[in-house]
Amino acid sequence: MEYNIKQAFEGIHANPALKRQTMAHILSQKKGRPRSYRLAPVLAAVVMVCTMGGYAVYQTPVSYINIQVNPSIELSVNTFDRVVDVTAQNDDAVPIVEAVSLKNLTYVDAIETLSNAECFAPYADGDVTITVLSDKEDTSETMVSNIQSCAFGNQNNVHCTSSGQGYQHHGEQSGHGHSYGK
Amino acid sequence: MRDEQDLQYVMDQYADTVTRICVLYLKSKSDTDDIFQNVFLKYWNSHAQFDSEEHRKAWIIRVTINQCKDLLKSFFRKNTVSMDSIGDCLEAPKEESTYVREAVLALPEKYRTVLYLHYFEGYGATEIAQILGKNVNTIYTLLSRGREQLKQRLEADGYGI
Repeated sequence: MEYNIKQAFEGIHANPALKRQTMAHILSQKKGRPRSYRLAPVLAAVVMVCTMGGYAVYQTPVSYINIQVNPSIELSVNTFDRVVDVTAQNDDAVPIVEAVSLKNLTYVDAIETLSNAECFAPYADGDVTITVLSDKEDTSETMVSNIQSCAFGNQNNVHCTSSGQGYQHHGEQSGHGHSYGK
Repeated sequence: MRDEQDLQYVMDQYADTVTRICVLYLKSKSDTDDIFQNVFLKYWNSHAQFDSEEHRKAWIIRVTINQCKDLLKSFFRKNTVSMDSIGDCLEAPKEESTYVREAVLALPEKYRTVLYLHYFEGYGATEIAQILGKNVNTIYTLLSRGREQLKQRLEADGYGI
Protein backbone atom coordinates (compact mmCIF):
# COMPACT_ATOMS: atom_id res chain seq x y z
CA MET A 1 0.00 0.00 0.00
CA GLU A 2 2.85 2.33 0.85
CA TYR A 3 4.32 1.92 -2.63
CA ASN A 4 0.97 2.57 -4.32
CA ILE A 5 0.25 5.71 -2.31
CA LYS A 6 3.78 7.00 -2.90
CA GLN A 7 3.33 6.42 -6.62
CA ALA A 8 -0.03 8.15 -6.51
CA PHE A 9 1.28 11.38 -4.97
CA GLU A 10 4.76 11.51 -6.44
CA GLY A 11 3.36 12.96 -9.64
CA ILE A 12 2.18 16.06 -7.79
CA HIS A 13 4.65 18.93 -7.93
CA ALA A 14 4.48 22.61 -7.20
CA ASN A 15 4.08 24.77 -10.24
CA PRO A 16 7.49 26.45 -10.90
CA ALA A 17 5.74 29.66 -11.93
CA LEU A 18 3.84 29.68 -8.64
CA LYS A 19 7.11 29.20 -6.74
CA ARG A 20 8.66 32.15 -8.56
CA GLN A 21 5.59 34.31 -8.03
CA THR A 22 5.46 33.43 -4.34
CA MET A 23 9.14 34.26 -3.86
CA ALA A 24 8.71 37.56 -5.69
CA HIS A 25 5.56 38.40 -3.73
CA ILE A 26 7.15 37.69 -0.35
CA LEU A 27 10.39 39.47 -1.17
CA SER A 28 8.50 42.52 -2.41
CA GLN A 29 6.88 42.61 1.03
CA LYS A 30 10.38 42.48 2.49
CA LYS A 31 11.29 45.58 0.51
CA GLY A 32 8.13 47.26 1.66
CA ARG A 33 8.65 46.28 5.24
CA PRO A 34 11.40 48.77 6.11
CA ARG A 35 8.98 51.59 5.24
CA SER A 36 7.36 51.09 8.62
CA TYR A 37 10.77 50.71 10.24
CA ARG A 38 11.94 53.92 8.56
CA LEU A 39 9.02 55.69 10.17
CA ALA A 40 9.83 54.26 13.58
CA PRO A 41 12.72 56.65 14.40
CA VAL A 42 10.65 59.58 13.16
CA LEU A 43 7.76 58.55 15.37
CA ALA A 44 10.12 57.97 18.27
CA ALA A 45 11.61 61.45 17.73
CA VAL A 46 8.13 63.02 17.63
CA VAL A 47 7.15 61.22 20.82
CA MET A 48 10.41 62.28 22.47
CA VAL A 49 10.04 65.91 21.41
CA CYS A 50 6.43 65.94 22.59
CA THR A 51 7.40 64.34 25.89
CA MET A 52 10.35 66.69 26.44
CA GLY A 53 8.30 69.67 25.31
CA GLY A 54 5.45 68.69 27.60
CA TYR A 55 7.89 68.20 30.47
CA ALA A 56 9.51 71.59 29.80
CA VAL A 57 6.11 73.30 29.71
CA TYR A 58 5.10 71.49 32.88
CA GLN A 59 8.29 72.54 34.68
CA THR A 60 8.13 76.19 33.61
CA PRO A 61 6.60 78.45 36.27
CA VAL A 62 4.23 81.13 35.02
CA SER A 63 3.09 82.40 38.43
CA TYR A 64 4.55 82.77 41.89
CA ILE A 65 2.85 82.75 45.26
CA ASN A 66 4.65 84.25 48.20
CA ILE A 67 3.48 83.17 51.63
CA GLN A 68 4.76 85.61 54.19
CA VAL A 69 4.44 84.94 57.92
CA ASN A 70 7.82 85.16 59.44
CA PRO A 71 9.01 82.21 57.53
CA SER A 72 8.65 83.26 53.94
CA ILE A 73 7.94 80.62 51.33
CA GLU A 74 7.56 80.99 47.61
CA LEU A 75 5.63 78.57 45.43
CA SER A 76 6.40 78.48 41.70
CA VAL A 77 3.25 77.52 39.80
CA ASN A 78 3.07 76.25 36.20
CA THR A 79 0.42 76.81 33.56
CA PHE A 80 -1.53 73.80 34.86
CA ASP A 81 -1.85 75.40 38.33
CA ARG A 82 0.60 72.87 39.78
CA VAL A 83 3.44 73.75 42.14
CA VAL A 84 6.74 72.97 40.40
CA ASP A 85 9.13 74.50 42.93
CA VAL A 86 9.11 75.52 46.58
CA THR A 87 11.69 78.04 47.79
CA ALA A 88 12.52 79.08 51.31
CA GLN A 89 12.94 82.88 51.28
CA ASN A 90 14.58 83.01 54.71
CA ASP A 91 16.23 80.69 57.22
CA ASP A 92 13.05 80.09 59.23
CA ALA A 93 11.35 78.71 56.14
CA VAL A 94 14.03 76.12 55.41
CA PRO A 95 12.80 73.43 57.89
CA ILE A 96 9.23 73.88 56.68
CA VAL A 97 10.17 73.51 53.00
CA GLU A 98 12.18 70.42 53.87
CA ALA A 99 9.42 68.87 55.98
CA VAL A 100 6.39 69.41 53.75
CA SER A 101 6.08 68.08 50.23
CA LEU A 102 4.15 70.53 48.08
CA LYS A 103 5.45 69.79 44.61
CA ASN A 104 2.97 68.74 41.93
CA LEU A 105 -0.01 69.71 44.10
CA THR A 106 -2.37 72.39 42.83
CA TYR A 107 -1.50 75.71 44.46
CA VAL A 108 -4.73 75.65 46.51
CA ASP A 109 -4.00 72.12 47.79
CA ALA A 110 -0.39 73.17 48.45
CA ILE A 111 -1.49 76.11 50.60
CA GLU A 112 -3.98 73.91 52.49
CA THR A 113 -1.33 71.22 53.00
CA LEU A 114 1.14 73.82 54.25
CA SER A 115 -1.35 75.38 56.65
CA ASN A 116 -2.20 71.95 58.11
CA ALA A 117 1.44 70.91 58.51
CA GLU A 118 2.63 70.45 62.07
CA CYS A 119 5.80 72.49 61.49
CA PHE A 120 3.68 75.42 60.25
CA ALA A 121 1.32 75.33 63.23
CA PRO A 122 3.31 77.83 65.42
CA TYR A 123 2.90 80.47 62.68
CA ALA A 124 -0.64 79.70 61.53
CA ASP A 125 -2.32 82.09 63.96
CA GLY A 126 -0.12 85.09 63.14
CA ASP A 127 -0.70 87.51 60.29
CA VAL A 128 -0.23 85.77 56.96
CA THR A 129 0.23 87.66 53.72
CA ILE A 130 -0.14 85.79 50.52
CA THR A 131 0.94 87.63 47.39
CA VAL A 132 0.40 86.37 43.88
CA LEU A 133 2.58 87.37 40.95
CA SER A 134 1.60 86.27 37.48
CA ASP A 135 2.25 87.23 33.88
CA LYS A 136 -1.44 87.95 33.34
CA GLU A 137 -3.64 90.14 35.48
CA ASP A 138 -6.65 87.84 34.95
CA THR A 139 -4.65 84.85 36.14
CA SER A 140 -3.50 86.75 39.26
CA GLU A 141 -7.06 87.69 40.12
CA THR A 142 -8.34 84.14 39.58
CA MET A 143 -5.56 82.76 41.75
CA VAL A 144 -6.23 85.30 44.52
CA SER A 145 -9.91 84.44 44.37
CA ASN A 146 -9.22 80.68 44.56
CA ILE A 147 -6.84 81.11 47.49
CA GLN A 148 -9.34 83.32 49.34
CA SER A 149 -12.02 80.65 48.82
CA CYS A 150 -10.03 77.90 50.47
CA ALA A 151 -10.30 77.20 54.21
CA PHE A 152 -6.93 78.72 55.09
CA GLY A 153 -7.26 81.72 52.79
CA ASN A 154 -10.66 82.49 54.25
CA GLN A 155 -9.33 83.04 57.78
CA ASN A 156 -9.31 86.61 59.19
CA ASN A 157 -5.56 86.64 59.76
CA VAL A 158 -4.80 85.71 56.13
CA HIS A 159 -4.58 88.47 53.55
CA CYS A 160 -4.26 87.54 49.93
CA THR A 161 -3.51 90.03 47.18
CA SER A 162 -2.12 90.28 43.73
CA SER A 163 1.27 91.98 43.64
CA GLY A 164 0.11 94.38 40.95
CA GLN A 165 3.46 93.98 39.23
CA GLY A 166 4.22 92.13 36.08
CA TYR A 167 5.61 88.61 36.02
CA GLN A 168 8.95 89.94 34.71
CA HIS A 169 9.58 91.69 38.06
CA HIS A 170 9.90 88.32 39.80
CA GLY A 171 13.60 87.99 38.97
CA GLU A 172 14.31 91.61 39.97
CA GLN A 173 12.63 91.20 43.33
CA SER A 174 14.52 88.03 44.10
CA GLY A 175 17.71 89.69 42.93
CA HIS A 176 17.29 92.41 45.55
CA GLY A 177 17.23 89.79 48.28
CA HIS A 178 13.64 90.29 49.35
CA SER A 179 10.41 88.93 48.05
CA TYR A 180 7.71 90.86 46.23
CA GLY A 181 5.40 90.08 49.15
CA LYS A 182 7.20 92.68 51.21
CA MET B 1 13.73 37.69 10.66
CA ARG B 2 14.33 35.10 7.95
CA ASP B 3 16.53 35.83 4.96
CA GLU B 4 16.01 35.22 1.27
CA GLN B 5 18.33 32.22 1.24
CA ASP B 6 16.37 30.55 4.01
CA LEU B 7 13.09 31.17 2.19
CA GLN B 8 14.51 29.81 -1.08
CA TYR B 9 15.72 26.69 0.72
CA VAL B 10 12.34 26.06 2.33
CA MET B 11 10.59 26.72 -0.97
CA ASP B 12 12.82 24.21 -2.78
CA GLN B 13 12.48 21.67 -0.02
CA TYR B 14 8.77 21.84 0.80
CA ALA B 15 6.92 23.37 -2.16
CA ASP B 16 5.88 19.91 -3.37
CA THR B 17 4.78 18.85 0.14
CA VAL B 18 2.62 21.96 0.49
CA THR B 19 1.11 21.36 -2.96
CA ARG B 20 0.33 17.72 -2.19
CA ILE B 21 -1.43 18.62 1.05
CA CYS B 22 -3.42 21.28 -0.82
CA VAL B 23 -4.45 18.60 -3.32
CA LEU B 24 -5.62 16.43 -0.40
CA TYR B 25 -7.91 19.17 0.86
CA LEU B 26 -8.78 21.47 -2.03
CA LYS B 27 -10.16 20.96 -5.48
CA SER B 28 -9.48 24.37 -6.95
CA LYS B 29 -6.20 25.59 -8.39
CA SER B 30 -6.76 29.17 -7.28
CA ASP B 31 -7.38 28.00 -3.70
CA THR B 32 -4.19 25.94 -3.86
CA ASP B 33 -2.23 28.93 -5.13
CA ASP B 34 -3.61 31.11 -2.33
CA ILE B 35 -2.76 28.57 0.36
CA PHE B 36 0.67 27.96 -1.15
CA GLN B 37 1.50 31.67 -0.94
CA ASN B 38 -0.02 32.00 2.53
CA VAL B 39 2.03 29.12 3.94
CA PHE B 40 5.35 30.56 2.76
CA LEU B 41 4.37 34.07 3.74
CA LYS B 42 3.52 32.76 7.19
CA TYR B 43 6.90 31.05 7.35
CA TRP B 44 8.59 34.29 6.27
CA ASN B 45 6.85 36.31 8.96
CA SER B 46 7.15 33.65 11.65
CA HIS B 47 9.68 33.91 14.45
CA ALA B 48 9.41 30.18 15.18
CA GLN B 49 12.74 28.50 15.95
CA PHE B 50 13.24 24.94 14.76
CA ASP B 51 15.28 22.33 16.62
CA SER B 52 15.74 20.22 13.49
CA GLU B 53 14.75 19.88 9.86
CA GLU B 54 12.02 17.44 10.91
CA HIS B 55 10.63 20.07 13.26
CA ARG B 56 10.56 22.61 10.43
CA LYS B 57 8.86 20.13 8.09
CA ALA B 58 6.20 19.30 10.69
CA TRP B 59 5.59 23.04 11.18
CA ILE B 60 5.11 23.55 7.44
CA ILE B 61 2.73 20.58 7.21
CA ARG B 62 0.70 21.72 10.23
CA VAL B 63 0.40 25.28 8.92
CA THR B 64 -0.65 24.02 5.48
CA ILE B 65 -3.33 21.75 6.93
CA ASN B 66 -4.64 24.54 9.16
CA GLN B 67 -4.72 27.00 6.26
CA CYS B 68 -6.66 24.51 4.13
CA LYS B 69 -9.14 23.79 6.93
CA ASP B 70 -9.63 27.50 7.57
CA LEU B 71 -10.31 28.09 3.90
CA LEU B 72 -12.84 25.25 3.75
CA LYS B 73 -14.60 26.66 6.80
CA SER B 74 -14.79 30.17 5.41
CA PHE B 75 -18.18 31.51 4.43
CA PHE B 76 -16.99 32.68 1.01
CA ARG B 77 -15.57 29.24 0.13
CA LYS B 78 -18.75 27.48 1.23
CA ASN B 79 -20.92 29.70 -0.91
CA THR B 80 -18.96 29.84 -4.13
CA VAL B 81 -18.08 27.32 -6.81
CA SER B 82 -14.63 27.36 -8.33
CA MET B 83 -14.40 27.19 -12.12
CA ASP B 84 -10.82 25.97 -12.33
CA SER B 85 -9.41 22.59 -11.44
CA ILE B 86 -6.41 21.26 -9.62
CA GLY B 87 -5.18 19.50 -12.78
CA ASP B 88 -2.33 21.97 -13.36
CA CYS B 89 -0.44 20.59 -10.39
CA LEU B 90 -0.40 17.08 -11.75
CA GLU B 91 2.03 15.50 -14.12
CA ALA B 92 0.68 13.16 -16.79
CA PRO B 93 0.49 10.16 -14.42
CA LYS B 94 0.54 6.42 -14.88
CA GLU B 95 -2.93 4.99 -15.05
CA GLU B 96 -2.79 2.90 -11.90
CA SER B 97 -1.43 5.72 -9.76
CA THR B 98 -4.28 7.90 -11.01
CA TYR B 99 -6.80 5.40 -9.72
CA VAL B 100 -5.06 5.12 -6.38
CA ARG B 101 -4.84 8.89 -6.02
CA GLU B 102 -8.48 9.34 -6.94
CA ALA B 103 -9.45 6.61 -4.47
CA VAL B 104 -7.44 8.33 -1.69
CA LEU B 105 -8.93 11.73 -2.53
CA ALA B 106 -12.42 10.22 -2.49
CA LEU B 107 -11.96 9.11 1.12
CA PRO B 108 -13.31 11.29 3.94
CA GLU B 109 -10.79 13.99 4.85
CA LYS B 110 -9.89 12.44 8.23
CA TYR B 111 -8.76 9.21 6.51
CA ARG B 112 -6.95 10.65 3.52
CA THR B 113 -4.85 13.00 5.66
CA VAL B 114 -3.57 10.29 7.98
CA LEU B 115 -2.98 7.86 5.09
CA TYR B 116 -1.01 10.51 3.23
CA LEU B 117 1.07 11.49 6.28
CA HIS B 118 1.76 7.86 7.15
CA TYR B 119 2.40 6.30 3.75
CA PHE B 120 3.81 9.20 1.79
CA GLU B 121 5.54 11.36 4.37
CA GLY B 122 6.50 8.37 6.51
CA TYR B 123 5.23 9.67 9.86
CA GLY B 124 4.33 7.32 12.70
CA ALA B 125 1.05 7.52 14.60
CA THR B 126 2.61 9.55 17.43
CA GLU B 127 4.01 12.17 15.05
CA ILE B 128 0.73 12.37 13.11
CA ALA B 129 -1.11 12.83 16.40
CA GLN B 130 1.18 15.76 17.23
CA ILE B 131 0.79 17.37 13.81
CA LEU B 132 -3.00 17.03 13.79
CA GLY B 133 -3.47 17.67 17.51
CA LYS B 134 -5.28 14.35 18.02
CA ASN B 135 -5.00 11.35 20.30
CA VAL B 136 -2.55 8.63 19.20
CA ASN B 137 -5.21 5.92 19.52
CA THR B 138 -7.50 7.96 17.28
CA ILE B 139 -4.77 8.03 14.65
CA TYR B 140 -4.39 4.24 14.83
CA THR B 141 -8.14 3.87 14.36
CA LEU B 142 -8.20 6.35 11.46
CA LEU B 143 -5.28 4.58 9.79
CA SER B 144 -6.92 1.19 10.12
CA ARG B 145 -10.33 2.35 8.86
CA GLY B 146 -8.82 4.49 6.12
CA ARG B 147 -6.76 1.54 4.90
CA GLU B 148 -9.84 -0.67 4.89
CA GLN B 149 -11.96 1.85 2.99
CA LEU B 150 -9.23 2.46 0.43
CA LYS B 151 -8.86 -1.27 -0.13
CA GLN B 152 -12.58 -1.68 -0.65
CA ARG B 153 -12.73 1.19 -3.16
CA LEU B 154 -9.81 -0.08 -5.20
CA GLU B 155 -11.13 -3.66 -5.18
CA ALA B 156 -14.50 -2.43 -6.32
CA ASP B 157 -12.74 -0.75 -9.27
CA GLY B 158 -10.79 -3.90 -10.01
CA TYR B 159 -7.49 -2.76 -8.51
CA GLY B 160 -6.08 -4.81 -5.66
CA ILE B 161 -3.62 -3.07 -3.31
